[in-house]
Amino acid sequence: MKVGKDSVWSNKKIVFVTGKGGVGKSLIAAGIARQQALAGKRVLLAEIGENSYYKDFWQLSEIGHEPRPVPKENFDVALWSGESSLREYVLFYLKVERLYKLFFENKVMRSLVNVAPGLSEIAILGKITSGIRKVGPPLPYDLIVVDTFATGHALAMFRTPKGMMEAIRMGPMGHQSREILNVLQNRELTSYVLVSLLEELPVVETLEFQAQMKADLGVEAHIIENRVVRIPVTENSLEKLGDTNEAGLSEFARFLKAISEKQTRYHAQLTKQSPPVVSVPMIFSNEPKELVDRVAEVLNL
Amino acid sequence: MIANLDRLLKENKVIVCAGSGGVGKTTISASLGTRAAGLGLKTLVLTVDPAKRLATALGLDLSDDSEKRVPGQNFKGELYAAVIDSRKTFDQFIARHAADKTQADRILNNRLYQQLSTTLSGSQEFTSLERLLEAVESKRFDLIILDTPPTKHAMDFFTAPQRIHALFQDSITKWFMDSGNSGGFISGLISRGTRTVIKSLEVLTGGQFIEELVDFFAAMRAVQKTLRDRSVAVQKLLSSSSVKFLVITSFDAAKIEEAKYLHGALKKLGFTLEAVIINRAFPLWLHDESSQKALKSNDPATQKVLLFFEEFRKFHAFRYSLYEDFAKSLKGSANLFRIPDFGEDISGLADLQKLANRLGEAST
Repeated sequence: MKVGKDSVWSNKKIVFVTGKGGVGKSLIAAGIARQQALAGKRVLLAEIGENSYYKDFWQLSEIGHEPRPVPKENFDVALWSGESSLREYVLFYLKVERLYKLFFENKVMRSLVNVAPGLSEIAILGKITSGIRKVGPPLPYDLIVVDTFATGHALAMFRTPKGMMEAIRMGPMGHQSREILNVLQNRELTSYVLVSLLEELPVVETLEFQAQMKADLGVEAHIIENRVVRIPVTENSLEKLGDTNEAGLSEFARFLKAISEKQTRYHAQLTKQSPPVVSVPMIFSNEPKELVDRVAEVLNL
Repeated sequence: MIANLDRLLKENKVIVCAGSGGVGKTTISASLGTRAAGLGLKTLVLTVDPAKRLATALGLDLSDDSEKRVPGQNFKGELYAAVIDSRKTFDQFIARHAADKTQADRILNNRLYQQLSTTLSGSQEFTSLERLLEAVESKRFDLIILDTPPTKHAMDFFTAPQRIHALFQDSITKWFMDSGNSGGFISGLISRGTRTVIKSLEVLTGGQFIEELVDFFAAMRAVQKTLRDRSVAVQKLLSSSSVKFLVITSFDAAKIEEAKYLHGALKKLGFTLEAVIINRAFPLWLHDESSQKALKSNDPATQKVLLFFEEFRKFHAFRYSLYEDFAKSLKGSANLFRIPDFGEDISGLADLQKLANRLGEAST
């Protein structure tokens, strides 16, 4: 039985998209943003960390903490780092002009966020969940799609509120960590999309991540298999072509057959526990607009 | 000419495989290991987070980070492998370099450290390099191949020692020094601006959080000098002439851009980039003429496959142009090797050796 896509990102407030490095998370996140924007939602595509992927992807001059529209798309994009999120939070609550300047000019902020264990992660999660928790400046969006870190770092981030709560039980930090965790664990508000390829390492990481998220946070992550090569002929035909003398053709046929077998094997492994939500085909394009459109189309089916 | 690759392995002490996630660094590191062992070298492959099958092929148990002789080998030399356990290495580093057990325990028992040390910026990179340094200093191996941890930006790896050192340098830990004083945790030495920032942070995060932070910083001061010494030693090792860097990348526009950037950045750091390896490049088997000819075939399956090939080819032609521009820009300052994608999985020592042979062939 296929899991309804609706239950994964429609009617949610936050969708975290993660996966092993190199599996195409950012494109899938952009595709979800577009698909939901087309459905009439006010959508923000949020990148997290220090560096922007979408800046080069869409060839924009800048992506910063403040959301900006994506040209030719009907959603916004922003880049939230630990430092920018913490700074915004502090300023919002202190509301003192003198402090405003201080926080912008003081090197302490940057160093502190980098050094203090977990502070950067909690600041980013705090920002993402701020609308729901009604803290900080308002975010006028129905949905935030987060292009999250790769699985290892993402897991460390999702564990941070719990870790912080264990370490710090009292005061605003303990309280906020608990609230953030509540949002992360709330199935009505938040969902997790795990992008995988039908290859060994991504599949193994995907399944491990899913199990860890279940164990640590009690949440289920939904799988999207990406870059699935749709081969136009049967494996039988490929086998026959692989045996011909036509040098290049037979090699290509054998290459496709190897891919086909591999995909079948890893699809079975990936979907043993839970069915994938969507299977996104390999898209033969190098154009950002076309890529995002095609992914959004597939997600809409 | 396989000698090219073999010379690289024979004439160096350390090979560092760099590159961002998902490009096959671990597999290539391991396959280079089999080649080096085949040449008679006592070789160690240091890896982070290997895939299960690769770990099995190397005889690694992921819960044990000691150096293990790879089972089932029949090399002229010897092949060893180890998984780097970041947390364990960092804990051991602190235990070893703190002045005494009390100081070590103060860090290891700090609640923030216990809960969140995995989020410590640069700690995974730092521990990889620390482990490399230990292995070099042990003088047990002729060659060590380091598979670097996945970073979003491959450069993060090389700046990690400086970063982690900078984190705990005097000026920062000083902020938190006088925690025992009645005036609070903030040293009188720091500027009033910084003091205000930290005080405000205390209002927002709570006293307990700041207390734990203070404790953490104060405790880290105990290993601060060693951190600095080790990061200097790592820097010296990496820029020595017997250490060579390989950048592994995949056949993808963004990844090639990153490889270009890395190539320039490594040079600036004084490191020697030996080669850029483009892994899993799409093999161009068919020429235009042959596919045109075959399109006239009467067999529908043949036609479909050829049309499909055309799609593949057009898609990759663009990437090939990037690859060729890159090759030109290197102008012989580093080699560019291309390993075609064969659509197969690597599942044993024999496969790793086969991959190394391809790498050897590519290094002509």
